[in-house]
Amino acid sequence: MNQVVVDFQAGNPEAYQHIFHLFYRPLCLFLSKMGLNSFVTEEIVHDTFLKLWNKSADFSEINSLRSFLYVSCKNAALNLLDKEKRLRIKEEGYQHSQDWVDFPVTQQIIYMETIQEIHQAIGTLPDQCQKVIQLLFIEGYTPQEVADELGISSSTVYNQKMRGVQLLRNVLNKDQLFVFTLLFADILYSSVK
Amino acid sequence: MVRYPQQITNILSAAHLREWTAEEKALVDAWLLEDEHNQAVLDAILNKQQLSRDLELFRSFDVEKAWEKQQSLLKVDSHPSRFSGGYPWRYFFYMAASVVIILGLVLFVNQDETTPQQEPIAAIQPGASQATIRLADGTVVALSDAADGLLINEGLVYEDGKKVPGITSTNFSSFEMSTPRGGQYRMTLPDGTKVWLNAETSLAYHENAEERHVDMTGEAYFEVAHKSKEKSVQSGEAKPFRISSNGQEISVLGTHFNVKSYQEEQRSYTTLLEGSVQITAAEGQLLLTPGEQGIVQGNSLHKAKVDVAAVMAWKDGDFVFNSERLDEILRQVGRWYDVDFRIENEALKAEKFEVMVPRFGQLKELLELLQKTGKIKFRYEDRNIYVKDK
Repeated sequence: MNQVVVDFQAGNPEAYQHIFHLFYRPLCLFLSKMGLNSFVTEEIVHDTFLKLWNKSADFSEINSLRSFLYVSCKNAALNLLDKEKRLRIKEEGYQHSQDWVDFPVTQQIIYMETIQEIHQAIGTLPDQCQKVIQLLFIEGYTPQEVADELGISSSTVYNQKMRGVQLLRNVLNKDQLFVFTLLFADILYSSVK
Repeated sequence: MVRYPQQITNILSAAHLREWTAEEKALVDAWLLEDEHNQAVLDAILNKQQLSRDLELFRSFDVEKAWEKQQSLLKVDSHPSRFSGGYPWRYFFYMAASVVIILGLVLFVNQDETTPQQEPIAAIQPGASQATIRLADGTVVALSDAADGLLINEGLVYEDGKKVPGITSTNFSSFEMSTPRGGQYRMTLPDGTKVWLNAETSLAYHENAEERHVDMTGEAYFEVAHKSKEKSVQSGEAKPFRISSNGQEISVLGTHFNVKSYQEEQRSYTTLLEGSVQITAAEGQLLLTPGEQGIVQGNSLHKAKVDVAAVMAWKDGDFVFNSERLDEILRQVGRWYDVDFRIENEALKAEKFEVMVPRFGQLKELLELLQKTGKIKFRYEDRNIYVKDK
């Protein structure tokens, strides 16, 4: 991870690509939850990454780079979401959007990156297993509902669940997951090199 | 280095996928106590309905397609040294953008026109290297702003090698160093310890046969020399390094840490980067490990995990406030630009804001950023800046 930041600081485009892949989706989710539509969200994130590239020499470690990305996106979003609009959002009942606007960035980062990690962990599973785990553990389906939804037998659901739990246990072990995240980052990084 | 926020997101991501271990549960509980907002993050993650909606939203953004677009944007961006090419309309866009910015500045300056004949806010400069030192024989020297570091050894020498003129004393075992509002300075003590002083900070150093002692108020970052040249006469060990500041005592032996302890503030903060330190206050003692911050308020003390990069931003030339109280933010900003903020509304003082800007930027840029939140308005009058809610 540190090597990526060192390379990025030196202006290496591959390191930039890696950082883009690492932060693009969490940042999009971050802005969407502030009540921006996906078009505006993508515009802001693209623009922020342009700024990041032009300032690459300023960043020597990942935390300040992360803060820069989130705070810049938030500032740009606030420029758009003027007070009236925020009020309107509130009146129209998008209460959660308003709450998220006022929520501290530090905590939002934790939420967005947790979503990213859940996505990555589930993504390590084989295809059918992914669907079963997602429906059972995240969507809260019963095994019978999963079987109906996917058109498979309930014994297959059970087998896939056991398999998923087994695989996730390896993936989600605290220290291993940390290694995994680094590995994931490194594999991605070396694959673009 | 603390793996923040990596460690906690690892544990949180497992919430629905398997049982937490007892150790993980304990870490989550400790994390919940660190900040009042953390509970809301946990609640959001435990809320399956919201989580699955957000996962779906997260996946709806196509990162590969976006990367292709980003590359094409880079090609039209005006940095030929890195990517070739460029389109005229892009320059037009930048011109248009700068017109908007200039218009914005004009509007901003015009808000202050109720009181003419004053120094415009745009003229307020950020702080710089300035400090004075007072030696044991009473000599007081204003240190050059040309050099920003001082070596105290057999004499007083700037970091660029020039001698500080007018020094006759040869005794440097005790002295006082202070920076004004809008000042900062770096120095190396006779034992090799490095100290960075933030604005409005005073520090009295005293070394004797048994210990090195600093009495301070303000904010300073210490890199205490691991092997003191001079050993304690009694124990033969490296001499202890002790700091007293507004009712707390910090004992160290070879370590990197930041102390923020201003008299007018209710709390003193000691943040440890490397090594270990012990803090003593009226009600007890506390040992810090790297990444932890000890907080002394009155007689009581407690500790928390912190974002060390944010705490140390001042030393590296940035202001980084991660959701901090407005009064706290403006006190620090005021010290650096030597201006006074008057917050006219009590409730506003506790409002929290996020800011990340370079310390050597213009004050007005920082204030504009805060105004953009739509929550506050500034009015400027004679180096006093009045703050009210919008």
